[in-house]
Amino acid sequence: MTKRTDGEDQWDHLKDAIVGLGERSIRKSYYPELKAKIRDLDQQRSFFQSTLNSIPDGVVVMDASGKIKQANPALCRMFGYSNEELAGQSPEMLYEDHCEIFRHDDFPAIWCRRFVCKDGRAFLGETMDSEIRDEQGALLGSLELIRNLSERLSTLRQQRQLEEQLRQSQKMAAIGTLAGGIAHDFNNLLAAILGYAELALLKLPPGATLQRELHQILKAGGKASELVNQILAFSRKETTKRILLQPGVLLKETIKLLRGTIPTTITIRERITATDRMILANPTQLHQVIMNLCTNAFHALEDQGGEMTLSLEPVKQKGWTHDAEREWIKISVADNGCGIEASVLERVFEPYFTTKPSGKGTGMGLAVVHGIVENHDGRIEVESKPGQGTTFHVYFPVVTGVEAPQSRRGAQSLVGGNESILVVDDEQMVADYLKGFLEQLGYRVTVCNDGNSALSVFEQNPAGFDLVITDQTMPGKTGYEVARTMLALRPELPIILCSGYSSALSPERVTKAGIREFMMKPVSLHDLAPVIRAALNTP
Amino acid sequence: MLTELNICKFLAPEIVFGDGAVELLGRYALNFDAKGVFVVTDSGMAATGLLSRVVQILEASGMRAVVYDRVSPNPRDHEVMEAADLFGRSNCDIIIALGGGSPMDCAKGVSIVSANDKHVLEFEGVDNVAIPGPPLICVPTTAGSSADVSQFAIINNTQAQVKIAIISKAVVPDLALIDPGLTLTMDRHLTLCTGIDALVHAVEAYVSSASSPLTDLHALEAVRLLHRYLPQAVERLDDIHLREKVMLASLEAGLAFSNASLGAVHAMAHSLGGLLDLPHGECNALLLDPVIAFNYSAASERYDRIGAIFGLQTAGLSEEARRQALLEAIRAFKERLGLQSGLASRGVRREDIDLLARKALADPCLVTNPRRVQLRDIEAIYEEAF
Repeated sequence: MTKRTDGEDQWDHLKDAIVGLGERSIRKSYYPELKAKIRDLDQQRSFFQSTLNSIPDGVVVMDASGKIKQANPALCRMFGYSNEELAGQSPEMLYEDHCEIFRHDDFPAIWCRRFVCKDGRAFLGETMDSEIRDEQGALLGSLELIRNLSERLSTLRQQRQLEEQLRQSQKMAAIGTLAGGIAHDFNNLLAAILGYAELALLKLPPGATLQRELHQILKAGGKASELVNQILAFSRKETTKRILLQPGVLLKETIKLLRGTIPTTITIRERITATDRMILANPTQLHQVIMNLCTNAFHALEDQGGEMTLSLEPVKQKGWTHDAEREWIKISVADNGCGIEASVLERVFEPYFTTKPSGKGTGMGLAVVHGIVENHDGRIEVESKPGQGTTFHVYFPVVTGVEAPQSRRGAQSLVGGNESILVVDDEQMVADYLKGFLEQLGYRVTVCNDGNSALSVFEQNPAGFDLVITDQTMPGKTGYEVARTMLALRPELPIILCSGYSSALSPERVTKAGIREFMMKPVSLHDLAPVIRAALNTP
Repeated sequence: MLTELNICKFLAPEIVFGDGAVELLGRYALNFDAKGVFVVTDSGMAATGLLSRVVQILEASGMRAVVYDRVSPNPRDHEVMEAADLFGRSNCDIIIALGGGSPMDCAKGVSIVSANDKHVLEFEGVDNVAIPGPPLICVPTTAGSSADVSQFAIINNTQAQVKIAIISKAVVPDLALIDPGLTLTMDRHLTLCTGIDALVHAVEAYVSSASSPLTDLHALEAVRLLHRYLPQAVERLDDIHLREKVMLASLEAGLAFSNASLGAVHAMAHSLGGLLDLPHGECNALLLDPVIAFNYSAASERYDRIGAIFGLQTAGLSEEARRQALLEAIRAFKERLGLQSGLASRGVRREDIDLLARKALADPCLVTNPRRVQLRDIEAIYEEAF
């Protein structure tokens, strides 16, 4: 075998290549390059399409003549059109009544337009448009980017409403605090008025001519006291206690009150069906419900006069949440006044919604009614025809299997005793009348005008007192603190805590501290006497 | 080496052959979905009216034709670049070459230059084209170059004064639309030169070290046809039957050499043509017998078979006697056709030989010459041809 040279190898390589068997010998066809270009184009098209499709805002692309070339899925979803329906059309079909772009008050920084969907729904949208040009600057078309602003708009409005609501409730809280403070002072004055009137009544010989006048003072004072309690209740926002009651009685009382305040141009009719059915309700709140509904009826009748009808009847029907039929007490307040427009009707229960001129209504009345009724597992309905009048129906569930409570006890004789009582009150007037009243009943009474002096008197002779009556709100130590100090010395000591105004003190807390009784001021002597007796008798 | 292992390959374009085939040009151009057609041709084609005929055919099929007709004989590198630039701006889809070897080689250059964005001289050598060009249809009007089927493009490097060979599958045309009727325009001299070129193609391909049974078939048939019909054709230029035979011979020679390559005759002819701008066929004719004299011993059996076609009875003769007999037969054939020998008469000077030989040695056609060639061998052959 002859030895091959490098040169020969090289020639052989070249020979292979010439024949077409060389390593770098390529095919004749340029199809692979073409295919690569086509693949590249496909990828570009797919990338472009995917990019367009993944834009979360609506995008519509127009050709150079301004006709729609294509839209992305977000736009199709937004408007309800398919790409085929849009292709070749003018983008005007998406605008409401050829709407031009404008600046919206709520979105001053962006351009807006009113758009309309396939189904006719119109919406406010942000719009941005841009021309599409090639590298040479020739116009290829344009595109419009559309963003639905409806949600942002409603969020913005909701936020504003919340801010308004917060402002309102802050205002109410401020009023509450103010009213609470005044009520407390007013309560103390009332206590004195009532106390002395009762004392005077006690001192009068039976059959004296002044007795009727003093009773009138006590009656008016009692009403004033109720009013103050209502203000206090409002300012405290306390969870109200519900009792079993016959709403008919309450309704009748309310009507009596209304007759005195409503002008005679408005006739009040009552259609109360006699029933022994009871509901579980807070009387104050029930009263508020009826009063609010009547106030609205009054406003509807105010200008022309007319008729207001309050009715009550037990009804049997299905519940709104439960399918089973049950018994309800239905209270209706109807008027034949101006009526309510349908568009307004659906919003009447919204808080702060009012058609009344500023200063005349807060827009809270029906909202409160609605809230109370719902809280009582009840239901409120309204029917109205403009020009014919409005009727509100309120349903409360009847509570079955419970007997009506015994009617209030009659005039009870005042029971007294000879025990030693310590009275603590910073109001000299209140302290004095309590002392006079208790002594009248036979008790031995010591009076202190603040907590510290009371404690020093008590500590000198803890066993010297059988009962302590103390006011809560006093300069220096509060009644509660005084009570706790005394109870530390004598845990079994009966203490009656009286308070007119206290947001910090709950009956539970008082009971927990070992305080025997908690009474709301002004305290009627008729109420106080049996409480004292009971406390003294209970070990 | 694969070729040494007798593994062969045969590459050919789609071929349409026959009198009147040119009328199918429109249909084939449409097959490439062409809108615009770039026609590469020379001024002679415009003169004969063939160009306007071709343009008419294309326009009748609804295509736009852009013409580059400034190709010179032995196409020059700057012509290729000029045409490629025009093609780039013409917005055409396919290229049609109309004419002899020169427009076809130029069109091949245009095609690969436009696809690869390189200067045409950068493709010199074997397999130096990375990306094939746009579709190319060759419509030959001569019977000899066979550029319409070959993987060769010969371009004149005007700076270095040498013809460079671009050998690549990428320059094999997509379609050879061969209409022998188009060769009727050739005069006697051109018919002769191109015919001799075809004969040398066939001979060199047959004795090539890369020949294969597939190429042998075509090579021998081409020699046979040319030996028989070329002398008649140059005497009866209007005979379409003879034209068809010579054209077929040229096609077969082309198929053979495109796949088996050539040898020393072409390597030396390229060098000669590059220096003196002589007609390619003539250069081949001048060098054919000196090269056979040098090569004979390396492929005597094959040369003997060619001799047999030329009518030689060589049975029982010594190798030297057989060689002499063949050389005489070839020379007689040349003389019969009226081809004169002698480089000197073509203006070649003895002092040119050194440069000619060095350039020939670098030609890739030399690779497949049956006998290994050294510089001094080439010089000796040039001397012989003087």
